[in-house]
Amino acid sequence: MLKGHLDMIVLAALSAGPAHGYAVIEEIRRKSGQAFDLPEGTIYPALHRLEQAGLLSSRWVVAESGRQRRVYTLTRRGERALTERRAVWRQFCEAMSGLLISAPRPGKPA
Amino acid sequence: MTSEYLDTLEAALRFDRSLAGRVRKEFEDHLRQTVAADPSEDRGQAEQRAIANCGDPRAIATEFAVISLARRAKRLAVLIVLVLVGMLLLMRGLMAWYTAIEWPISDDMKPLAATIAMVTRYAFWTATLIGVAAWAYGSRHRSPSDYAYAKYSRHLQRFCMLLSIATAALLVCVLGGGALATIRLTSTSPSIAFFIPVLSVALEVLAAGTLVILIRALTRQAEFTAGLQKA
Repeated sequence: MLKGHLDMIVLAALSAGPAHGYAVIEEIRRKSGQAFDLPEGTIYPALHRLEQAGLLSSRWVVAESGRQRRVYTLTRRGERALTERRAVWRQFCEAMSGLLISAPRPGKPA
Repeated sequence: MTSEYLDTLEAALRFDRSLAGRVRKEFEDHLRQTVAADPSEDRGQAEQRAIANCGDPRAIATEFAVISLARRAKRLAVLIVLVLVGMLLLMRGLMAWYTAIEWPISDDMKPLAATIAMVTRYAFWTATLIGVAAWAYGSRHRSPSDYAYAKYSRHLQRFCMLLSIATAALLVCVLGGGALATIRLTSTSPSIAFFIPVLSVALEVLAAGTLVILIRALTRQAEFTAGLQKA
């Protein structure tokens, strides 16, 4: 189920600011209350794919350890895509809540 | 252990060296950070856990391979349009030059030249029509979710077919252009002016040859990716 929403999850994780792959994974775990424990290797292809689609940009930076690290940032197009996906998700949640959490109709025979 | 994992990942991406290098560096950094954050004192176990959490390197490589294929296909879609525009300018320029210097074709060669010119013209417009269709089709996949392997491989097959037909028509056009230049060159005595049609034909051959090489590289990469997917 998560795979279909991976792009939205990654975009949402990067909405707080630029981050490298490891930090994105940590952010997903933190924001989801450890509920989303994705196979870590799937995040990097998603980052590359989103970059190719123009939703992210990336650059190499030198970390404190001296190692090179690829940092990803949401582009304006990425921000717009995330806003659109959030709106669709809210509509979906409201509709599903209406279906699943609505009170039973009064007077319905048991 | 980490090196072995990174070597497997890099080897599976060897068709795109810059991508392989970048992916290796990103995964190396990721694995080191994961191991450093692991509370266990046993480094070997921490490495093992980090690698297990990353997943199968071949499956990861397949995902990267599709992204790389898509990038190359899009570049090729733009390249064929550029080649077609370049060829049109070259052919028009050469015709204008032949007219300007009044370089005639001998009477006995005129019927043959007219036939070759007609074939060349039809071949060029066929290449243009199919090349533009290939560009439009190749540029269609924009959404990141379109890069699922099964869906993308079908799209790529159709794109390569369109591109191959357009390039074949372009090769006919290049051969026709070469034959016409040869007819004109054999109709006059050698001079420094020979350089212009020879250069024009050489540029056309170079452009068409580059397309053939790049299409071949793309289909090979697609075959390699299909092999990774099956493995």
